Amino acid sequence: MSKVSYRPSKILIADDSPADRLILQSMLQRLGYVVVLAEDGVQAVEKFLSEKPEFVFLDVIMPNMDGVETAIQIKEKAGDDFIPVIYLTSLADAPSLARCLSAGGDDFLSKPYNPIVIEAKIKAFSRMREMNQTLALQKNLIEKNNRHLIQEQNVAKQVFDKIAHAGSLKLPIIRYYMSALAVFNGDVLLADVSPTGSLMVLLGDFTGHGLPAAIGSMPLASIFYGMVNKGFGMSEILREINNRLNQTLPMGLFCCATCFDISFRKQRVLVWSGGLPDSAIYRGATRTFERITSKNLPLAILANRDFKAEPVRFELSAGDHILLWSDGIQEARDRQGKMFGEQRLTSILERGLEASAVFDDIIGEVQAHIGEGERDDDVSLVDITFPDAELGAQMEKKGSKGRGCLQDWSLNFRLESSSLRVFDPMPLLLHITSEVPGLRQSNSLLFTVLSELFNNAVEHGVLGLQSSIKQSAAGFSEYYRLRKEGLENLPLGSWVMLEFEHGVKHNGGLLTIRVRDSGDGFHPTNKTTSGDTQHVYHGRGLTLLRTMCESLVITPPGNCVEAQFRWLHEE
Amino acid sequence: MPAHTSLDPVLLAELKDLLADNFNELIERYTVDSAHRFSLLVTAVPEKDYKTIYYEAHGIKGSSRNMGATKLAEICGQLEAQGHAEDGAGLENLLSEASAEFEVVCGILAGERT
Amino acid sequence: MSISSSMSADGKTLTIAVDGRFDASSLDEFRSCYEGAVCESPISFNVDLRKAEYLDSSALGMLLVLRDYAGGESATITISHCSPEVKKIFAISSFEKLFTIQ
Repeated sequence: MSKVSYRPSKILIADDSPADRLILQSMLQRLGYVVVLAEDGVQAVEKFLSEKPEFVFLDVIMPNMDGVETAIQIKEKAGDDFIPVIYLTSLADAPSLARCLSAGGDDFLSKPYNPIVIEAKIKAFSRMREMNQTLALQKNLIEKNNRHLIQEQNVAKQVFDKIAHAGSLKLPIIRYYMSALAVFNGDVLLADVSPTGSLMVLLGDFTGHGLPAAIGSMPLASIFYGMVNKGFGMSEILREINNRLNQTLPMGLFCCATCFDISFRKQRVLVWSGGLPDSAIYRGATRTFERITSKNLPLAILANRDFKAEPVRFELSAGDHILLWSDGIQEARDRQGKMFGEQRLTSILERGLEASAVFDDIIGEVQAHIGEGERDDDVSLVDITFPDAELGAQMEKKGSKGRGCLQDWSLNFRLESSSLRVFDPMPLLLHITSEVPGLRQSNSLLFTVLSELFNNAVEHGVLGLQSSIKQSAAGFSEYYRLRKEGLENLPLGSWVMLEFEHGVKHNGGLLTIRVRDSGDGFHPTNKTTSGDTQHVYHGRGLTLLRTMCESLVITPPGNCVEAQFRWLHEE
Repeated sequence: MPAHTSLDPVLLAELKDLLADNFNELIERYTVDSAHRFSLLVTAVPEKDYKTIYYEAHGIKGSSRNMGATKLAEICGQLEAQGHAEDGAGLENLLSEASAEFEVVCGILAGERT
Repeated sequence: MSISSSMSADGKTLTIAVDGRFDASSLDEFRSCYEGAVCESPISFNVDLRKAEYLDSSALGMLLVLRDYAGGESATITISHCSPEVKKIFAISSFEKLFTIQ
């Protein structure tokens, strides 16, 4: 804050009496002020504008324009700047004095002038002027900061809206109401159809409103949409969201949420709820509600190792609805501060209404309850219709269309000597299979399968190593030393070829992996029959392959192995 | 001692000290301005021009107070009040009383010139 | 480092933590973790697979070599924080008989 000078440097005197003008001028000059003179009101306003005095003495009765009118004009031209105006007068009647002050003058100075009184008045009003300037500066600063904040919030909101509304909230089966307290809503509603055809919906309520809540919404929305799009299951998505929020949000900021995974084909919904009020399933046939109660802590509170993302399953049929809301419904207050409450909500649910009427009644009655009062929480209500088979099939298609993920495909990948020596194909291959929605969940099994197949081809095929070397612990090390040495000196003309074919099947897919190599073939010895497993360091790979794959065919002479790996969507 | 009733000697001394070289200028301004206002009053009183009476009497009253001419200021205050109230009773007498007192003040001030 | 090891305060348990891939590519790293460990008094091992996502049969071999190093029959080796997939691999290979799988 800039330092405000305590003393006015320049003072304007407007008086038509030349003797009085001279006396006051002399007094002020003796006190050390620069004095500007005017002989009437018109001149006074002109001098005020041109000389910019910081203090004004005005005679009340002057020719051309009287002191009262002059004061009005000077005050108006000064704007937010506080310019003290002191009337010079020998008027004595109260109505005249009152008129002077109401016109914007600040005080009177009576005749004969007294230098001590004059100096005291100047000092008093200068202090006032200083306070006024400090206030004005602070006001400007606050206004500037506020403008800046709103501008920032608007930019942030554009980013937020892009992320938060990336999904399928416009689906005909979703109806929702969300009120906003601030630029940002503390409630966040996300919905999208996954490539597997499931409709994933998440309603979250962050502690707090505005920017702090929106900050949490950003990673929430981006993880949700990113993972739903790639076909991750609800548990994985919730675990990832919980993990990220737990790591990034400050203590005390968390997110109450309910998440639904609605499968149109399987006619079921999986629900996970943490901290939000009950949601409800509306049975179209009986017009009754089943409550779904939250059994978990909100997101962002538990570290991931303690976090349980186990959903509850409900069967659904056409005409059923899922209704979910944030605590803003029950906690909506009327002007007396009384909450809408659980009972009012329950009574609406128990009226046996048509589903759309339930939605209308809740919103209508909550709004009527709040009236003109101030809302103190975000109010959100979501209604999802479980559609008939035909509409359900249409919804499912929204998921797989144009998302750029792999469905049916094949791939031939051949590694020549120079690549085999140095290149590890596993990360690349897993990266490709990860592009298949749902197959990603099987990545760790698939790694084992691919690794066994590829290493068999390299070690037994291309390098011709015998498993029997691994009879002892020392042999185990020797085996891998030989493998390393063999690869370093790999002759030209060696190769390993990996062929993939993937087809989407009911509830999952089938990946066929064929691995050929340039070797002479190998004879898979049946696993050592001895029960003494502890000294055998080999022979487990094929067993693993046989258990994990639907089929495994080794074509003689053993340099072509075909495995079929079937995977299912996570339930 | 007319100087004591017509002109406050303490105030006069202070003005002399304050204005120093400008003191004669102050006397000049006061006497010229007041004489001009009296000439306006002389016309206004017989015509019952209350506005001018109020305005000019107020002017003389103000500067007379500043000069320490207390008695003159009081008479002019009376004129001003009657002008404001549009009360014509005894205006001529008040005006001649004021003019006489102004003559006295001017006489004293002339003697105070430095 | 995808593999790290630490000794418990009492000097009796060596924990080897595997991060990411556990296969032949980490053979040397894995072996150097325990070969430096002093084996005078009976020492127990804990292989922490909390962060191990990928595992193949060569890892099984490496665990067996560790068991041999630690005294074979008398070795005390715990394999902890196994994911369901990793547990499945151990089950197929009957590793529960040789190791404490957690």
